[in-house]
Amino acid sequence: MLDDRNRAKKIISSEEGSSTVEFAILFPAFITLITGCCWLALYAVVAGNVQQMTYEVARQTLQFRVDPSVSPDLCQHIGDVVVPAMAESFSAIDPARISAVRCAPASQPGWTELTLVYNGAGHGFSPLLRAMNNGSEEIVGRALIMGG
Amino acid sequence: MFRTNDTGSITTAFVLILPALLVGGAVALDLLMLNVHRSHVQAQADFSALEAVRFVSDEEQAFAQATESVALNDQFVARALSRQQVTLGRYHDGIFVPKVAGGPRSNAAQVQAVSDSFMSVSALLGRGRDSVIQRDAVAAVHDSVSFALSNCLVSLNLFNGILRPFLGAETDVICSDGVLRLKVDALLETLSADLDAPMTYGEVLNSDIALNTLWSAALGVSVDAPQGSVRLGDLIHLDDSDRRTRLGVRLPGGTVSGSDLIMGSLELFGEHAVDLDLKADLGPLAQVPISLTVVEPRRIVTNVEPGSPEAYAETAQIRLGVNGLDLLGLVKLNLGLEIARASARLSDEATICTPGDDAEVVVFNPVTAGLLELKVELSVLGLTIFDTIDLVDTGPLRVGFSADDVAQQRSKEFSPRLEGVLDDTADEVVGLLDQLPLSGLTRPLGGLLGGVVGAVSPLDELLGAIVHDFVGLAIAPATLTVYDAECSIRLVQ
Repeated sequence: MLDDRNRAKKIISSEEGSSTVEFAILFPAFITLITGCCWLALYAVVAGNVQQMTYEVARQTLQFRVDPSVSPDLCQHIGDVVVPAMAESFSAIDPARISAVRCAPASQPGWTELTLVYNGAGHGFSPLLRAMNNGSEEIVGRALIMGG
Repeated sequence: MFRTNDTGSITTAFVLILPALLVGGAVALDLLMLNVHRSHVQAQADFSALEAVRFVSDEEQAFAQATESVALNDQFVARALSRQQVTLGRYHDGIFVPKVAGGPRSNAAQVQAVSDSFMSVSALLGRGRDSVIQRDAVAAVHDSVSFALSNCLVSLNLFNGILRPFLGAETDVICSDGVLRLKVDALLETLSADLDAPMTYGEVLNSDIALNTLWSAALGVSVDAPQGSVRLGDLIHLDDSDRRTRLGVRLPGGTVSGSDLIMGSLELFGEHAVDLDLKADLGPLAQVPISLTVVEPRRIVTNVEPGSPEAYAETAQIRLGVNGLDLLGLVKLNLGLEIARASARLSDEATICTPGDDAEVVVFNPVTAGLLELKVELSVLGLTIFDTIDLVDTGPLRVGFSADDVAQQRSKEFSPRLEGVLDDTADEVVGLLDQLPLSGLTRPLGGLLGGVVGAVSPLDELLGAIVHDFVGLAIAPATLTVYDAECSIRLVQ
C-alpha cells in the first residue's frame, strides 16, 4: 500500500518524459499552423492562377477578333476553344473544376466582362475559402475587355 | 538549478520560433501577392495596349480606351494613365518607333502601366508603399485586304476568240458571279506540287508555271491551255513577309479570282509578244482583224495593308488597232484605241479593326477608270488626215465598303460615262469626213441619199458603225470586289 502511494508520488513529481509530453501537446498546434500556411499558400496560388488564366484568356480574346456585337460567336469560341487550351497550361488548375465561363456585356456600356468560375470545393483550403468568400466555394477570375 | 533545468524547453523553443515562422509566412504571402500584383499590372498594360491599338488612327480615342481599360480592371489599383504613358507609333521588324508628324500611319500602341505595391511586412517595418511596379506592353495591329479590280467583260470581249478553243463552255461562265475564288496560299501550294521543291510562297511566285496547270487550278477542272508558262509573281503581288513565309503555313486572308488568273496569264503572254490578235464584227463588216497589244498586264494584289505603297490594283493596259480598213473602196481607215487601265488604291482612311457596323471599313481612294484616247487616220487619194479624240474617264472616285459589304463580298461597279460616249465618238469621227475631198466621190456611190442635204451617206453610216463597235469592244464597267479584310491584333512586346 505504502509502495503504491510512493510510486504514484514519484510519477507525479518525476520530470522524465516532460519533453515528449510538451511535444505531444504542441505538435498538433504546430502541424495545424504549418498545414494552415500550406493551404493558405495553395489557395493563393490557385486563386492567382484562376485570375491569371482569366487574363490570358482575355489577352487571347482581344487578339482573336474585335467586337462581340460584330462577332456573336466570340463568346462561344472562348468557351469552346480558348479556355480548354489555356487550362492545360496552368499547373495549379484542374480543367474539370472550371464550372463556368461567362462572357457578357458589363455594366459599363460597350465593355464585355469575361468571368471564369473555378470550383474550389473539396480542397483543404475550402473552409478558408468559405470563410473569406461569404460561404461560397467558387474562385472567380474577372477581366473587362473590348470597349467600344 | 533553474539554469540547468530543461523542463519546458520545447515550449520555449516553440514560442521563440513561432514569431519567426509567422514573419516568414507573412513574407512568403507578401512575395506571392507581389507576384500576383506584378502579373496584374502586366495584364493592365497588355489590355490597354490591345484596346488602344484598335484606334490607332484616332489618338484621342486610343488614349481614352487605354485609360478606361486600366481603370476598369481594378483588382489592384493602378495609377491613372497620363498622355506620356500611351504612345502610338509604328512597329516594324521588332522595333517600336513613336509616331512622328508626317510619318507613316501608326500600327502599334505602347502603354506603360504603373501601380504602387503594398507589402504588409514592409509596412510593419515602417517602409509601407515603397515599391512601384511598372510594366510596358506594345500591341500591333495588322489589317490586310484582298481585293480584285476587274473589267472581265472587256477582257472577255477581247480574248473570247483566243480562249474559246481551249476552254469551250467554260468561257461563257468565266465572268459570272459563280466564278471560282481561290485562297492564294492553297493555290500556291497546289502549284508547288509540279515544281522543284520550293520552300516559300515567294519561290512559287518566282517559278515558271505551266499554263495548263494554272488554268486547271483556276477553274477547278482539267482544261487545255496554250503551250507555255508564266511567272505568277508578275501578276500576283504579295508583300515581303508573305513571300518569305514557308509553304504550308497559312497566309491570313488572300483570295484571288479564277478569271483574273486566266485573263492575267493571257495578258502576260501578250506582253511577251505572243500573237493575241483577234477578229471582231464591226458594224456591217464581219471578222475584221484587230491587233491587240498588251502594254502592261493587270496587277492583282492580295493581303495588303491599307495605305502601303503596294496596295493598289490595276487592270491591263491594252492597245487595239485596226489597220488599213477599206471603206467602200474610197477611204482607208486606221484606228488606234488606248485602253487606259482602271486602278484602285486601297487607302488607310478606314480600317476593319475599328468596331462598328455601319462605318466604312475598306476605302479605295482614288479609283479611276477610262478610255484614254482614240487615234483616227483617214486616207483618200493620197491625202491623209489624223485626229486624236480624248475619251472620257471617270476622274478620281472614292469607293467605300462597309463590314457588311465585305462579309457579303458585294461588288461595286464604276465606269466611264457610258451613255452617249459611243455615239458622240462616232459622230466626231464621221465629222472628219468633211475635211476630205469626198463630194465628187460619194455622190455617184451614195445612191439616192447621196444628194439629199443633211442625210447620212452610206460612208458616214459605215464609218460611224465601225467606230461605234470598235470603241464598244473596250468599254464596260470595271468591278471592284473586296474578297477578304482581316484584322489581326497581337502583343508584340
